[in-house]
Parts: sequence; structure tokens; C-alpha cells
Amino acid sequence: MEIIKIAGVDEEIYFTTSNCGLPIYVWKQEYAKSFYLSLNVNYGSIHTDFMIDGKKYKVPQGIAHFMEHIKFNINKNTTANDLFDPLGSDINAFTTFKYTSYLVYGTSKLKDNLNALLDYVYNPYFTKEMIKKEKDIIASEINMGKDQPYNRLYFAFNDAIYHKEKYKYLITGEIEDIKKIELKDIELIYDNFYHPKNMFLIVTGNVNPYEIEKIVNDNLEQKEFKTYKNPIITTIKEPKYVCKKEIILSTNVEVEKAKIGLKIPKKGFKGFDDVKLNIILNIILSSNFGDSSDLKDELLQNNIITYLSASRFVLNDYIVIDITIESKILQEAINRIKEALNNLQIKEDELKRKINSSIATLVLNYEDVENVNNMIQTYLIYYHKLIPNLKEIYESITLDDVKKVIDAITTKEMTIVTMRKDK
Amino acid sequence: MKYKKFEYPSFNLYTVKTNRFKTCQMEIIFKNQASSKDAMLKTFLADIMSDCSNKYKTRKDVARYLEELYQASFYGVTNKTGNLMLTSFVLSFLNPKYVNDNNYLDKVLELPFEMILNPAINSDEFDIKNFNIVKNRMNDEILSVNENINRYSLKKALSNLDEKSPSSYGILGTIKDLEEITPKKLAEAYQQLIASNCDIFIIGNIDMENVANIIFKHFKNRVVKTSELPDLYVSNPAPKKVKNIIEPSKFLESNLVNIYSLDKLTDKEKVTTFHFYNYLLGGGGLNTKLYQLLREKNSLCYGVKSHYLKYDNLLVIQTSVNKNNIKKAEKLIKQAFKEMKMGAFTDEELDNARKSFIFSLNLALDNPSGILNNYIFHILDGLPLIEDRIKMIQEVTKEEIITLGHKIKSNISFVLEGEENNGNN
Repeated sequence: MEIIKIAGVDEEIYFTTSNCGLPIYVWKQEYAKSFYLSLNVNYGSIHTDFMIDGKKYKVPQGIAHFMEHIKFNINKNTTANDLFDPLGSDINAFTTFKYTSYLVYGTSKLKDNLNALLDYVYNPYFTKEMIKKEKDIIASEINMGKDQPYNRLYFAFNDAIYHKEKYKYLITGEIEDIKKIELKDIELIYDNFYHPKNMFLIVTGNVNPYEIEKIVNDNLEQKEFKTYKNPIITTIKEPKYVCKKEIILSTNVEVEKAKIGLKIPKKGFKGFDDVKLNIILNIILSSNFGDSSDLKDELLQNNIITYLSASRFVLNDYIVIDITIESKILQEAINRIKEALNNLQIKEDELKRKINSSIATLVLNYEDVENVNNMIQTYLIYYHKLIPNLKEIYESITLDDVKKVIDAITTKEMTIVTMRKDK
Repeated sequence: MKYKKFEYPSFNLYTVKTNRFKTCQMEIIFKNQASSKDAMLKTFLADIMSDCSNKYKTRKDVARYLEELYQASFYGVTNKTGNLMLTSFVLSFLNPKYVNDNNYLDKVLELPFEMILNPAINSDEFDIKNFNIVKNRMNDEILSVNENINRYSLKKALSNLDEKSPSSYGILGTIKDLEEITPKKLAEAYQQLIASNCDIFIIGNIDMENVANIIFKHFKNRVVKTSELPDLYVSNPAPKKVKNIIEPSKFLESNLVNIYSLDKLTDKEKVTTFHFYNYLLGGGGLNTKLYQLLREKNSLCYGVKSHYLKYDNLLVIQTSVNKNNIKKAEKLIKQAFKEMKMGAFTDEELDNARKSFIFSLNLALDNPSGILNNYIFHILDGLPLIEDRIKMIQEVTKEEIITLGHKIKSNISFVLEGEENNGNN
């Protein structure tokens, strides 16, 4: 077992791989009463087109989320709850664009909980009846999502940014998509993606890493896995320009909102890996649009906005910047954001303050078992590895680095999505 | 964990010393009787007092100083708990041992008292610019409730309770209430707040004697007007006739909210037994009566939950269904109650509820705010400490849970009727 030391915060993460190829990460926190288990599949809503043994496959949108739902069934009369309720634990699952996660939150009987998690996720029980039954439930969930204005705004924004990327589609799929899902699709996904080599387990809490490794090996040795065929997700050639320069949504919203987005080719950010680029972008956005920024202060003081937030998304070939506002004078607010995006800046003292507070956050991040588990998931999904030297990376950032990133942020490919009140 | 009380003339300080966390948390709580006319004022005050002060002129200044304090966080919040309005100011900060600054503890503890004791008031009025920022934000918050199907229908359903009951109104109020607030009225409300009953709670691995001295240094000159606080629990008796309300909406889904009055629960029932009842009915995981009947056996909804509003003596059931299924959902909810009354749950299910309850209490021991929150209600309501509650859970019997079925009376049935039927014409 490898012990990965997290520099500067006095923490360690244990890493090993099970005999059948499941990567296992363990964070030990001796004071915790609870433990948090996540069994994660590198399969999310965007993975609908793939190739196995040279053959191309295309499955309906929403299938990853559909699988997450029906995975709870163990047999005709038993669900995962029947395993965990007697253990007094809490279970859940979620699907994102890039992965699916099955979670257990418990305070006792770690071994039983871990075995139950492995038993139900690695249990290929699927029937036509359960697929039929689940379609109505998911339809209700889809409508609930559409009743949420920010959910609608987010997917309209993605629709404006992307031509082909699957981020533009709902994670749940549309009702019409899920109607198409059949038993054979579900079996195809399970057989090829729910394989230990395409998954990872994270355990956080007051646990013994070596005991975890043994429980996992003992359990998985009892199971049979087909040969891993290493499915290849079809690469999407996404154009450099935004798909739609503008989208106006007219809806029963009470507070008008907008998203202003940029799509920027990543090749302009030479010399920065994804981790450093992400950190620097975060600092830039926080300094220019966050609570401590002059712009937000001024826009609030002059009643131009009532809400402002900024985020960034680093993809393989480009980065996406997303500024969200709420305003009664939406057009004026949009103009001010556009102007600010063209004049991004940061001062040396501000950079120093942001770096120091971010380093403090590194310590704060190791406070509770759920947070640490989620943090490891994020690293593994977005960077495919842990980042043990984050403190060092923060300390290495110079004003020159930040200025280089600012210079590479071009506003040529901009989109504006507004959500206006139904007249 | 070591609990300790420090008594001062104008406030009490309650400390929890534990070495389990890297952060410390402090909560300063002002207690007042709940009233519909004050709710909005208190919410406004908590917001503006955490946004600015005479020293930190705007939220930007506060945000920058919090960053300098190693990413400390500070906010104000108002909660209505039964008959009480609690205005709290919450500070979270890194344990000083991780910080290279010998004065860090003093500096970080000073901040909330600077914000509370020196608000941005000049000539008996709050600063107009900050006033307008908070007013605009609250205006949007009030309006955005209408965008959220669950929040909107719950608010509408509760508003149909007796208007004198604090359970019938929220802390946000209406746009009209907001319009009536002026910088002067807000400054008057501040004077009333600052003179009200106050408790301070703090948790962390720090020298609490030193903490007490620092807090006293910053918070000693307050004049308190003592007033007797009301009983915490609101009595919401069931009406002779159940109110049935249907309201059309532009949402796709239909939202169903049923409110039930709880009649004369004993202390034990409030602290433990009703939690078991609620867990089995619809508050627990995915094996509850409601979840099984509505979702698993009839595919009517994505989720259905029951909520025990302890200090309001109410039980609330809420779900979203398509409009063709409203009647069926109501029928199944009645069936769930009937099964509970008949004791149609196994010893194993009861045992699962027990384990789940213990799990959630243990979970609360894993974060500073969970422990602090329980301690606050220990002081406020005599709620046993988490460790004692875990012991009490062992004593609950099936018969005691069945008995509760006779203390639940239907009060309001509210339906927000949506437009969609999931394409199943």
C-alpha cells in the first residue's frame, strides 16, 4: 500500500489496487465517528457513444442516470435499502456528466457496510419490468428539474456554448430519451463500464486502510468479472466557436437572470497544466467578480445587480467561463460584465491575499469525512490523480503567471443567455 | 468533550472544548418573541449587520478582512423556532495553532462584536447604500420563492394555518412588508435587538478561559432590557373541518402538501418517539411507508417525505406528482397513516429506525455545528445532550409509536396543480 503525503497540511492518503484491479483510496481520520464510502464508476451522462472491440455503440441519453436508479434493485423483492437499513446507514447515489457514484454514510459495522456496497453495485440484476417501472419515476424527476429556473438556465447556457459536446444534454435525458432505453442497453453499460478496472473506491473515516484492502479483496474474489474490454469513448470534435451567440428564455421566472459565457481554446494557455490553470482562473474570477471585488461592490452599490457569481470549466481543448447574474436592469448588467471580462486585472497584494486564504482552505478541506471523499472524487475525475503538492503549487504562482493567463482570456467567443419574465 | 458555562451580567457564554476539529465555531444568538411584523425586520437586520459596519463599510471590506483572517467566515441569520425568533451571528475560523499570528484569536473573535456593536448607523438611520443592497437582495429572495415549487407550495400551505400562529408565516415576509421598512425603522429595530436576551456558544480546541476573557473584553458594555420569553412550542390545534385548497400554477409537476396537527405530545414523544413515527411513515430512507406506497409500488413520484416540525407541533407531508395522480396519492397517504395506526411495521423496521436515529446523532458529533446546535437546544429547550439522547432511543416501544397515530389530526390539504402529466395521456 502506498502512502501519499499531502504536503503542508499534515495529512496522508493511502492508495492500493485490489487484486482484480479496483483502485482504492483511504483517508484515515482517527476522531471521526462516521465513515463515508463511495464506489465510483468512470461512466457519466456524456458517455453515450463508444467503441468496444472495434465496434461502435450509441446508447440513449440519460442511460447513466437510469442505471444509477435501477442499480438499487438486488432482486425482485429486495433493494439496496434492505441491506443497509438493518445496518443503520444512509445510502445514496448520483450521476454527473463524467461519473456515477454510489455512497454509504455510516457510523458502525464498517465491514458489513463495505461488503453490502460491493455486493449491490456488483450485482447485475436487471429486468424489463424494473426498467418499465422506473420510466415514470424518472419522468417525474425530469419535470421537477425543468421546474427549477437555474437548472433550465444552466442547460440553455451549455446549449449555447457547445455544438456537439454532450454537456448540452440533461444528465437525466429527456422523457423521449428514456422511453427508448431497453434491457439490452443497460446490460451493455453494466458489462463494459461497471468493471473494477473502470471504477474506484474511496473510504474516509476512522478506518484501518489495510483492513479495507482485505475486505475488498475477500469480497471481490467471490465475484466473477468478465475480461475488461477497455471501451473507448468516441472523441468529439467540438468547434472553437460558440454554438449560439444568444439565447433568450421567456418563462414564469420572478427574478430575471443571465449567464455570460466565454469559450476559449486551451492552446492559448501554454506552460500551465490543468491544475495550475484551474487555480489561477479561480483566483482571477474571484478577484474580479467575487465578494471582495471592486466590480461586485460597485454593481451592488448602484443597484445594477442583486447577485453575481463566476465559475470556470477546464476541458480537454478549451476552457469555459460562466458568469451568472440576477438584475432588474439585465442589459446594463450584462454590458458591465462584458466590459469587465475585457479588462480583467489583479494587483499583487490581492494575489497574495487570495493565495494565503486558499492555503488556509487546504487545511479546512480536511475537516470532515464527506468533504474529503468528495474532494478525492473530484481530483480523480478531473485530473486522474491526487494532487499532494497543492500548497506548493499555490506558493509557486506569480503575478506574471496570472497576467499571462489574463492575456490568454479572449472574449471573441462569447454567449449571452437571458431568462426573462413571461409577459 | 468538555461543556462549560460562563455567566456574565449581560450574556451567558457556553463553551465546548474538543480536540476533534481543525476549525472553531462561535454563534451569538439574540432571542425574541416571534411576531409577524418583526420577522422581516429581524431578517433584514441579520443580513445588513453581517454585510457592513462603521469600520467595514461594505461587504467587500468584510470579505477582504475574512480572507486575511485565513478564510474565516461570518454571516447573520434569522430563524423562527416555535414562538421564538432567533437572530444568530455565526463565525467559523481556523484553529489558531495552524496560523502564524500570535494575535489571531483576539483578532478573529473581535470581528463579530465589531459588526454587532458598531453597525453602519449614522443619525439614527442605517447607511442608505447598504440598506438598498440588502433590500434589493431580499426583494429577489421573496420573489424567488415563487420559482421553487416546493418552497412556494409549503409557504402557501402553512399560510392557511391560524394567522395568529407563528407557524403560519415565514421569516421573509412579503414585498409589501419589505417596502414598509425604512433605514430609520431598521435602526430602531437594531436598538431593540441589541438590548435583547443573548447567549454565546463556542466550540473548538482552544483555551476557553482565554476565549471568555476576549469575548467579555469586546462585549461587556451592552445594556439589556430583560423580557420574559414565551413557551417555545406553538400550539396549532386542528380545525373542526379540514381545509382543502387547490391552486393552479404554471409548474409542470403538481405539488401536494398535507399538514397535520399533533395533539398534546409528551416530552418523551417530542424528543424521541415521534422521530420514530416520522421515520417509519416518510421521514426515513427509501423503505418508509409513503415511499414504498407512492413511489415503489405505484411509480407516482420521484420522492415523498414527511417532516416533523417539532416546535410547531405539526407534521407535514410533501410530494410532487403529475396532476392525474393527485387523488391516488392522497388515498395512498391515508393508507400509510392507517397502516401506522394498525402497527403494520415489523420489529425489524423499528430496529432499523432506532439504528438510523443513532446514526444521525453520531453524525452530528462529527461536525462542530452539529454539536453546537444540539447544545443550543439543550440550553434553550432542555433537549438532552447527544450522548444522553442515544441512550433514550433504546427505550422506545412499538406500542408507544402506535399510540401516536391517535394524536395526529388532519389540518390542511394544499394542492398546487401543475400543467404536465408526463406525456401519459
